[in-house]
Amino acid sequence: MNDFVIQTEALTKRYGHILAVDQLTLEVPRGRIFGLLGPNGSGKTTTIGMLLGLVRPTSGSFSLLGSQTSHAEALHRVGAIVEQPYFYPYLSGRRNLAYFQGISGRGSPKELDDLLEQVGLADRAGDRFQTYSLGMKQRLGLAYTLLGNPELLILDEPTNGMDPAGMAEVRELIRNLGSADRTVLLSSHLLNEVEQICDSVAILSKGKVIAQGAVGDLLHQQEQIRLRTSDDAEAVEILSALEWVDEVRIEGEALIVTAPHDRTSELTAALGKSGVYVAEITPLQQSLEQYFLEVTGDVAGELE
Amino acid sequence: MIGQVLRLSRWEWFKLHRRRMPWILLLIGVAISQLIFWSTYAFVATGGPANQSSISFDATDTAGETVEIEFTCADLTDMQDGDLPLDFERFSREEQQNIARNLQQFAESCESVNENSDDIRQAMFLPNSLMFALVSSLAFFGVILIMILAASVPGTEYGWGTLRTVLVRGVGRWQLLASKTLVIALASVGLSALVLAIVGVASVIATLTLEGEIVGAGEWSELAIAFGKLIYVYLPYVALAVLMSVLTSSSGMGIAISVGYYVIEQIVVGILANFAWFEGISTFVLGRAASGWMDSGDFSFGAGGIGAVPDPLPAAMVMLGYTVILGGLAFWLFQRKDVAGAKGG
Repeated sequence: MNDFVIQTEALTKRYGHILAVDQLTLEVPRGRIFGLLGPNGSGKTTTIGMLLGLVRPTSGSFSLLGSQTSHAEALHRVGAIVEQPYFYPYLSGRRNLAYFQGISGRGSPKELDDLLEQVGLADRAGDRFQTYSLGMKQRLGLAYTLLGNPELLILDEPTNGMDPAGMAEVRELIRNLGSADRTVLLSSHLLNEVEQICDSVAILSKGKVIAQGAVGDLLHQQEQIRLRTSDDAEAVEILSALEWVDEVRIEGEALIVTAPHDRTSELTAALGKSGVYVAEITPLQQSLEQYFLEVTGDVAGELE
Repeated sequence: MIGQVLRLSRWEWFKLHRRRMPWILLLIGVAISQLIFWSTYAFVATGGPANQSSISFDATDTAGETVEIEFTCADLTDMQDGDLPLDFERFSREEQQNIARNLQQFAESCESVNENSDDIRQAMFLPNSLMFALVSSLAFFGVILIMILAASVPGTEYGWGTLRTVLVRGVGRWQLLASKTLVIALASVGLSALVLAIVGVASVIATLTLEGEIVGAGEWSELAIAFGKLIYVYLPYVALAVLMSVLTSSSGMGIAISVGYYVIEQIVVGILANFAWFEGISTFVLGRAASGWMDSGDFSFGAGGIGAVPDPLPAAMVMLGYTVILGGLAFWLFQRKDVAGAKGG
């Protein structure tokens, strides 16, 4: 069995002179919850569209669930919502699900009942979709993606429009959905959501993957330590010479050192050996959001 | 493949019959056909053309007074039955002969009026009433209603954004469009048949008041052939409407362009039919070909029937060509086109 449910190779999409996705190479490991992050126009939705057969790639290739040829067959094992859940406004939630179950040719009425129960829509299942709140639409979208018990879930902004309690509930549900048998690809503008839910993440900017890996590893690469010393200028010189220190900069009255937290004692020892005394030392907990902003160079308000 | 198309068609019908739109189109079709039927009924019940067609002239009586004489075709029929609507004795013999000459000439024209009147009266009875509805209602308005349906079925999928939701289930694109086209075709047959069935009920009611036979002189087989021909006429127009909605990714635009083309073509053909050079190319105009295909001597297909129309066989080939080309383009485009989110139109 292939270790990756999604693999792209130099995937490119061009709309006239606009390059939406540029030579994108991405690997989504099986059985994980994988986050897809990127500022507005970074190519996330176009990438998902290509994977789902909605958008024709200009060049490059991809494989979905290990299948390069029978894409339609692979899609039968995928549940996906792109951008937001679109359903027939005049049909009830239950009839919408029955229709999508019907065109797939699989499933039973009991499956519908179970899914509606699971997403908390059992009471409103008979009401027309057009009467649903945004949160209810999202829940129905989630039930839709789970039809046929797919191996891969692709969720685009699954908590959009939900109240805080609903968001927490859905995040918990998504966490439970990701397992050894099922992979979740989550695209979200809520970075803390991705940080809370995802095991791995890929960050897109201008149609390219600029960082990819386990969330812990990415954050570990960017661990920082804040220091107050007796001689900052001397300390910068000493620390910059250490191999495992990525960066040292002076910020106000403190030094910000980019280095692994587990080497803090080595760091203080090196300074002490040179007669520079440490008055204060604080390991900084960088969030995914800070890391994201650092690598993309964008401001939070511009995030998709 | 065929199995998948049939399964998708079943679910397409699941959606379609729950929409208001096809039922509204059916209501409009019924309303138009009933309006035309009962207007004609009113015309027939009040005497029809025999009461409308008249002659008027002056004569001088023996007292020297000028008398205005007015006769309808119905008056002439009454005279033949011995019921004289005029006192002929007040006129001189010479004036009586003048009046008789005028009435003789008028009687000749009344023969065709009476024939026409009888035809219109026959159109109230089965199965002629159905043929009349097919020609007067479905052959023009029916095509428009079917185009609205055909543009709406794929077009709303773009407008609501549901095409994405359908395609990510692994449904093949051409299978999806094939199922939609199949359901449109079946719905068109159903809509037309229901309109005719309701005209049939009206016809039975009308027959009771007009003192005629419920089943009149017409041939059911001719009606069946005309119905089949009408469905064949729908095909290129369905292909046109589907192509326009796929091309524009919108039901509204699909309806506007295809119905607009249909109406404008009728007007343009009506004007160009007066020019001799137009005859050479008119076979290749869709509306003109439809007229040639539908024409059976008794009726024509909209304004496309003005002047000489193409023979049925070449007309049928032209329509087949339109269906294949427009339909093929629609499928090709649907297969290749990127699918975006909801467009709302």
